[in-house]
Amino acid sequence: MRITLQSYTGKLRTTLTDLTARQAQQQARIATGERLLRLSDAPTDIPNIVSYRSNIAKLERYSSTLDSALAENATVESALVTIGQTMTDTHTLGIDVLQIANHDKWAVIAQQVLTKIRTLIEAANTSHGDVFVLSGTKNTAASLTPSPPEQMSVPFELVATTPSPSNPSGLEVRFKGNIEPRYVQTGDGNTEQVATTADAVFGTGGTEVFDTLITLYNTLAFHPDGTPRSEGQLPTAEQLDAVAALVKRIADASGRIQSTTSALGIRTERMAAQREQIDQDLTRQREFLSRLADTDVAAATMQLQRDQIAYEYSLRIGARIMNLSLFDFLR
Amino acid sequence: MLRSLEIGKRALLLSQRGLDVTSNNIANVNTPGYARQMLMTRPGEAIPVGGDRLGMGVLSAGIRHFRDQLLDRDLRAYTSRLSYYQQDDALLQRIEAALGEPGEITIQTALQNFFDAASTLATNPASMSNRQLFVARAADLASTFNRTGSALEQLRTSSFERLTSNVSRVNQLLSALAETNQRIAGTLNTSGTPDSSLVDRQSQLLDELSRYVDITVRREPTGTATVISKGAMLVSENTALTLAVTRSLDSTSGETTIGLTLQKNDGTSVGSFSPASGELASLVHHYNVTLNPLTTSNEFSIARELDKLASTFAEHVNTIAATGFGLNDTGSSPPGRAIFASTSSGPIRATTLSVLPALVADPALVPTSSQAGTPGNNDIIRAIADVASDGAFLDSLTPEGYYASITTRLAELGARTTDKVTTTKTVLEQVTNEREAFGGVNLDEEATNLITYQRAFEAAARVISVTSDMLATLVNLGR
Repeated sequence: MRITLQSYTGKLRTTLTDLTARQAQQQARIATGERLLRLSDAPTDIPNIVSYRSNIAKLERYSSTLDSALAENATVESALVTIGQTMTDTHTLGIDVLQIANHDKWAVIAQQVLTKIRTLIEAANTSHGDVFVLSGTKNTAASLTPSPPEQMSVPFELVATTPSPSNPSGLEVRFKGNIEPRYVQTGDGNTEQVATTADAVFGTGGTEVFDTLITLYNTLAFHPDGTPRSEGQLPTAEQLDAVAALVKRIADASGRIQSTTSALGIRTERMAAQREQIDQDLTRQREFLSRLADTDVAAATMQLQRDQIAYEYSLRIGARIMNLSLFDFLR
Repeated sequence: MLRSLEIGKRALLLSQRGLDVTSNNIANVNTPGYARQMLMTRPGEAIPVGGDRLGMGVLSAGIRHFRDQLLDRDLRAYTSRLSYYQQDDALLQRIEAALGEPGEITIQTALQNFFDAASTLATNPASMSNRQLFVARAADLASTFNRTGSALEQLRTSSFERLTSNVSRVNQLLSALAETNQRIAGTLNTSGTPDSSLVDRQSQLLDELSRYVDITVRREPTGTATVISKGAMLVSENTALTLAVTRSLDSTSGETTIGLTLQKNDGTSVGSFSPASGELASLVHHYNVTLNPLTTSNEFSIARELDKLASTFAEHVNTIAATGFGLNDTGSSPPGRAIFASTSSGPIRATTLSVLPALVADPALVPTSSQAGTPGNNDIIRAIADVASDGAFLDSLTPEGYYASITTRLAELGARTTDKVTTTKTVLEQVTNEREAFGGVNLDEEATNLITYQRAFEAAARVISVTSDMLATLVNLGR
């Protein structure tokens, strides 16, 4: 085959251009850490890369949701501990008032019961961020509009109504929230309830426990005719029976709170396990993605070196071949 | 004696012509389209001398022009194909750039950010900062679609501009070819052989023309070239047709398409023209299909797919949002508020997708709850976040899955095109080498010729000198 000057230069030009382009590609791969500089670099890997990225984003989303739900559950758990303790204390007070030695101290113990009611309300109004945790889906101050005699935008409020024979103190605990459970998405097709509802803690309508405690307070603080009890005044036999029944109800309510706390704990544990599982999945997915999308720096560096050597030798050989011609030997 | 002088003279003249041809080859060593030339010689016709026949030196048998029409044809065919694929490749690269792929700021990441924000809002739908984040992410998503859609529109416009400029160049080439034909025919009439420099020029023009359109060249006995493409005679003798770009609008669908028409010099139309390869074919195809959002073609259209994704996504989210209540909504029936809207009166497209302005002004309006007055209810926003996993979103795929299918098709198309470019380039290189081997200038060869003609010239001069001496001897015999 005849080799002409254009054959030399054309081939050399193509080789040098290709090698320069390859070096630039390897440099870009090393500099950016990205294996794919164009989609067409590895079309069969694209669906997997997109899918891994999508999975990672989704898992991060669930992870973040779980973090937020776990934080709220921790707040609820802490509130339930306070509520449970207060109920236990109140139950103890109930047992105490039934002791003969304490029959003359009902008026004093009544005040202690009232304090416990206030403590319970405070715990029931626990908020996480700007939402009340035991207020169902009506859980912001703005959605809890008070109507007289209510005064505050909180879910549970102790209000004073007109005294009546059945409620001589006129005290009442109002619940302005609702008992709708709140759910969060924790996986594909998986939801988990976050926090708990007021009825699960405080019984029917979210106020059963408070009604019991106010009845206890009324029984301790007032005579059956509705007049206030003073220190040293003794209860009637009917009142003793009533208090015994109330103590039993308080014990039942304490049991319910304990089981609600346990249920929340189980859910929290499940969510924590799910969170851990997601972390493991994330690590795996990131590794898969890295294998496809990240530069193998060692391989890229070696390839760059090979291309550099090829480039250098192409230049040398090109220059050497074109340097000599018959004209150099003509005199 | 005088015969020897004549023989020497002929040899001298021929060597001189040989040197001229060699010099011309050396001078054109880098001229594109140049085909080497070679002086052909033949022995002079013998004349009877005594009882013998005596040769009368050397004569020129013409200058051979090393041009192979079959190689030229192959080279032009592959040039057309390569230009088509290279144009495809360049455009697909620009589409990838428009999509931001492969990279960090893409529609996929914008979709992920939107779903992240929806998911965060679902954990606390009453939070104003969560609502603001959600609206901002929705606006980001809309703007990413807008940006990508506009980039594709811009690409379509520049394809049209490039086509127009290429058509103008093609018309110049066709006109130059007609003119060259005329001159070649003229030189043929005058000297009996076509001017080789004009033939080289013609070849150069044909080579360039093949970059734009696929052509077939028929050599006429007059030395002229008839250029045919898709059955249309673009150049015949000294007449050339002109190409024109036509843009048509379908008033029903609003679709704009372009086409090429052939016209005579007086402007009358000869008919439509659809080249099969070359840059023009690629540009017309991408304008009418790949970058056309309203195309009905079965072939892949990135603009149409993107519009489909944007409109289906907005529709899905809006349908869910319409059943929800905002933070401060009251009443038993939902206000039917959407999240996404169109910036124009037409349907939602990638370029017109936007967030409902009312939501931007007041994020409390974002429908998150299925019941009025329950700010903690996240049924609606959870359903919106769930669209991310909706396997029946579009063509049995999730939104990100559908986007993945678009990028995969684009990647496959790009890879196929890159392969075609590489393969065609290799074949074209081979054909170019073959043509170069046949018609290119080899400097060593020319240097050898230089020595050959120089030595022949010296020898012929010596013959004349010796003959002259002999003549002098004869003249001096009588003194």
